[in-house]
Amino acid sequence: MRKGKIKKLETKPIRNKEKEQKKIEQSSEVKPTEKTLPPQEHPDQIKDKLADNLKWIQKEIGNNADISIREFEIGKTGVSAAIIFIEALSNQLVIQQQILKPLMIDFANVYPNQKQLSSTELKQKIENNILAVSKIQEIKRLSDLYYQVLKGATALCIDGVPIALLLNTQNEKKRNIEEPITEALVRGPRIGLTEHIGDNAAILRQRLSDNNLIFLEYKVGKRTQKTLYLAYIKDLVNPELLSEVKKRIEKIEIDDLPESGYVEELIKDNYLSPFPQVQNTERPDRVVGALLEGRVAILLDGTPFVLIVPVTFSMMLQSPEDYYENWIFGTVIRALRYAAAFVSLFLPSIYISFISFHQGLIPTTLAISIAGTREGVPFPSFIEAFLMEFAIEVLREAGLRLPRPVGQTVGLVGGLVIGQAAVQAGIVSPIMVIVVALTAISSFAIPQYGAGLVLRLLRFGGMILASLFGLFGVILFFLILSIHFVKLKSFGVPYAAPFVPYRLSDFKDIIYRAPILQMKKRPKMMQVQNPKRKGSGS
Amino acid sequence: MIIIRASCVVLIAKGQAKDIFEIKVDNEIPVNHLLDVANNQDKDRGTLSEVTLQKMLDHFASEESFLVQSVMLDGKKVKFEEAAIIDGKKKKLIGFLNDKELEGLSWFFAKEKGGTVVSRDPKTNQMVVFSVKKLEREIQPKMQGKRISFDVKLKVIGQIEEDRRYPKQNFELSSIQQAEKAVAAEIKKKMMTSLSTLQSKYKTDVIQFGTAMRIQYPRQWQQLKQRWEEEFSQASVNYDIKVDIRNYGTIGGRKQKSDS
Amino acid sequence: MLPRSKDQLTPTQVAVIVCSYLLGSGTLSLPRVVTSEVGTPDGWLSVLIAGFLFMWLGYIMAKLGAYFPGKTIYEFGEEIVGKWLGLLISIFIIVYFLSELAFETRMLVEITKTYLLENTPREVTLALFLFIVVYIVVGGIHPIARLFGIFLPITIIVLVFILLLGLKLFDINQLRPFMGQGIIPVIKGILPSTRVYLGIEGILIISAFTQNGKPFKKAVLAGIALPMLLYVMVMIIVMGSLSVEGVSIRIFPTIDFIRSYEIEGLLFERFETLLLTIWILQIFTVIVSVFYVLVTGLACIFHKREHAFIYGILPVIYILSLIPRNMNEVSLWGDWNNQYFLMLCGISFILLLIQKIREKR
Repeated sequence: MRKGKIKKLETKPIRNKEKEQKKIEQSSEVKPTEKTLPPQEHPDQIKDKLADNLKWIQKEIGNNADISIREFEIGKTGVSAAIIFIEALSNQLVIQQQILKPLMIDFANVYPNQKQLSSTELKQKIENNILAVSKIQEIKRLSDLYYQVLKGATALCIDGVPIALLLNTQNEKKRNIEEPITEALVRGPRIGLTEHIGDNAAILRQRLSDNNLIFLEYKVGKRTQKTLYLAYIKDLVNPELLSEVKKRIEKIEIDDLPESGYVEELIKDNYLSPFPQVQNTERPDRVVGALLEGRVAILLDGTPFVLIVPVTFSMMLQSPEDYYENWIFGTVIRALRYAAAFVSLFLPSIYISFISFHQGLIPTTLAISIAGTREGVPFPSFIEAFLMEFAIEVLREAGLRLPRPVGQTVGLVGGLVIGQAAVQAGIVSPIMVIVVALTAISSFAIPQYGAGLVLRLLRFGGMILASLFGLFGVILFFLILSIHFVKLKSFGVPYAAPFVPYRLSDFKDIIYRAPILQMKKRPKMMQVQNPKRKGSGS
Repeated sequence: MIIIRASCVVLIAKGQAKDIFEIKVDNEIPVNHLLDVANNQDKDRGTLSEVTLQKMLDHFASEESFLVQSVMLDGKKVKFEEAAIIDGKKKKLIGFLNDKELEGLSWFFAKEKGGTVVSRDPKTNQMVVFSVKKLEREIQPKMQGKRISFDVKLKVIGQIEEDRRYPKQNFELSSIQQAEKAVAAEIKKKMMTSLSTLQSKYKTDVIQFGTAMRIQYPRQWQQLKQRWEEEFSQASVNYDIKVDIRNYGTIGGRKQKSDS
Repeated sequence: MLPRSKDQLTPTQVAVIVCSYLLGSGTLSLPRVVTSEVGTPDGWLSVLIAGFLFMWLGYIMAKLGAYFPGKTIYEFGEEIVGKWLGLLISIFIIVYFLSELAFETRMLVEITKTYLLENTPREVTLALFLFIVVYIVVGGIHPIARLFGIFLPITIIVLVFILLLGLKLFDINQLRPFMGQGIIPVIKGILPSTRVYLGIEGILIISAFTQNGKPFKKAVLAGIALPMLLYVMVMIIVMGSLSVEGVSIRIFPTIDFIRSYEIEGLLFERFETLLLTIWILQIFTVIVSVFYVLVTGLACIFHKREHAFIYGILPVIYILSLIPRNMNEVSLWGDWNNQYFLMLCGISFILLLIQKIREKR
């Protein structure tokens, strides 16, 4: 059923948005009054005469080196036809065996004497009996033809037929399915999403064979016409959320979307905020989990990163593995992550404020040993901290960009050497090295790379405030962060949910990972249509 | 407003405080060493709980007299032996209690009490050494007209450490009772002696009889407060001391009945 | 004036707001303020009694608000007593809020200066803080409710934790005798105890943002009961540790109490940092609440949008808070505010009476 729908939709890829809407919201939508203009008015309308069409095509894209136009005669009918394709993008074997051979040779054999066929009959016959290609589309516009041809399809134009046939001969360049690198798990499926959107949809559908799972297609990017799928479960998702997501996707107007990061930035609520307001993942299990909670996933062709909306802060600190391991362990690990998040945000600033303002608050023995190690350090603690933080960030960045074996070496050697040497040279105190290292490691303990990035960035703000106003500065920093945090919304869901406003039933799955038997309901904050998880026992 | 942390510990130095801060022990910071020793001195005397700056201020505010640990230099070591008496009204140091007096008084107020009591069995005149494990105390003030008296009820639980009576036979119940009586008498003696010193010599209430009075007779206390020092030195004390020996150590045991 | 948003506050959120509004500057000085008046260790009883009194008053305010769903006192005041008298009441409330706001900010600055930042000028801390307050107030009541929702649990957990740690100083004899001087001192302590319940007047405004049903009244009562329990706990533990006289001589007995113990073997030994942190969080919530209700009032009177007032009022608060020259003047100011507050409570009581009579007719 779905296939048919998509097929039909694809006949008019450029203006399919309105149609989409109509199709999916069958329930209550007013029928849009779509005005179909008379064909003659369109300059790029496909003409009757093949020669005219070919001239057009020649003019528009024919001067490209990689475009091939092959003219031939259909069977022995005397009707001339042409196929237009790009050699490297299309499957030559299919073109030769399934298109050219049937049309040129088999046609004559099947219909030996068909000179008197009308053009529509001819088209029908070709479509139904001759072409052994899995997907055929009829198009009426030349501009549609270009786009598809440029993506690897083969266009067949027949003299006397004002319609072109697009034949699916794509020979796609794609890689194998591999383990996701950014979100490795100890226990859990090893499968990761790829750059190919068709494959991704297939992977998801394989994991979630629910007939209510919908992939809605959009074409985004004015010039690149990338495919974008909106995935959701029809009878779960909150319709308001869905229409909001659709609205934002339709608003996207940009030449190209090379990665889903573009989509993320274009659809998020507050583009000035450093917090990630859209989750990205290359783990299909995570996407499936989110879909079953009533969220919407956005797949973009050309990137393995699928976006999930809406997102809350608590999701940033969760990993699918929490659910695969024992729930007690899952809970403890989550608590650990929250502690790590706190440390990576506040540790350096607290340290700075204590050292430079409130020495009296440190336990006496610790204070004495810190004072001992800081002896001879020429800089105030802020400069000291800043130097070390800078060094560690540079090391991280350098290690990331270099080829893997080199990167690791740089990280290790750089970290050890700089840390050790800096202490021995008396530039920084050993305790500061501990603080900085602890902070960095804590930020790596956060499962979402983007979230870790934010925490690392924000702590500099905290350090500056701490160095100016001590503990008061740290408290101010906390206040500012909290305020921003509660003001943020992701597609209508408060970013701070489910911490606030309190929804006790959702507390089962923030820090405390309840046993699966107890998690009978989907998150309340999502306001799903069907709150009960079907799978859970009673 | 007090900006200084009120959790500082207050100690009274006998002699120059300066000297005590200059001791050198195992490269430790003198203050840390001092605090260590103050915390870890043996509990025999009934340790004085440490007086923090906050407590001292509270005592001054409520005009209560109190004891402070006193430290002195003994050669190159610090020694905690005596206790300084601070008068809460005059806010002055008025004297020092020696070790023995302090030990006797600690029965009246110490929160934790350990240590041993050496007593003599009146019959055999032999030594019985008793060690204290637990102490239950109740101080009940009484006002009859102008006369103020205190009923001090003590229940001391502990064990016998050393028994010079060398009981040839196994312990008899009566033998234990005898020992209990002897220990109680000894404790009472200690308490009475040191209390009378306090009442006659220093005339200061450092054993919190005033607090008991305030709780029991809150209205009368308003007037009594002014001349409490005098009243305290005249107050009579009734003792009711019970010693409970729970453990006889490793020698002896109950007498075996022949028929069992 | 901003259109009030369709989605209303839940009863839990109302309770959280009321609770955060009440928990504030009083925590630090309460034991002294009450005890210096009572003179016996029974001050906690006064706080308890005052608490029940204010639960009743809060109930009255909630009831008053319930007559006029979706309206604040600024609007329904006019409906009850007519346009001019209503306006007068609104102006009285606004002046009170302004004074209260400036007073609370000054308290914050004063504590910060004493315990955290000795060398930074008051003007700087004040300005910084006010900007942060504005940052949340422009967000409207929902982010405010969410923010308080984050701070309140932190406050309660930390406060109870540090109070319990101090139990090693606790001596039950300091609290005895119970009512040794009879009930009179306890009654004397009720008046000074009222100042910690300052803030329940916010109910008159919050009622506009929620459904005025039974859950609302319950939420209000819960929102008052929780701070009451915390205050009683503070009173008992601080009093039991510092003694009557000790409490009376300290400006901020609660801080001094936290500063008089050290726990060895934990990560920290000293805990006043934690106390000051949660105290700043709580006074922040108080300031934000007062700021919000003040701006709502101005917007109601002038029929304009809130935003203009939010920024316009800043310099006024800034200047007002810097007026007192020392801590004594600040305390005096606090006493004034307390009297205003009691008058406001009286006004709402009278308003309810009038409303009841009007209804019968």
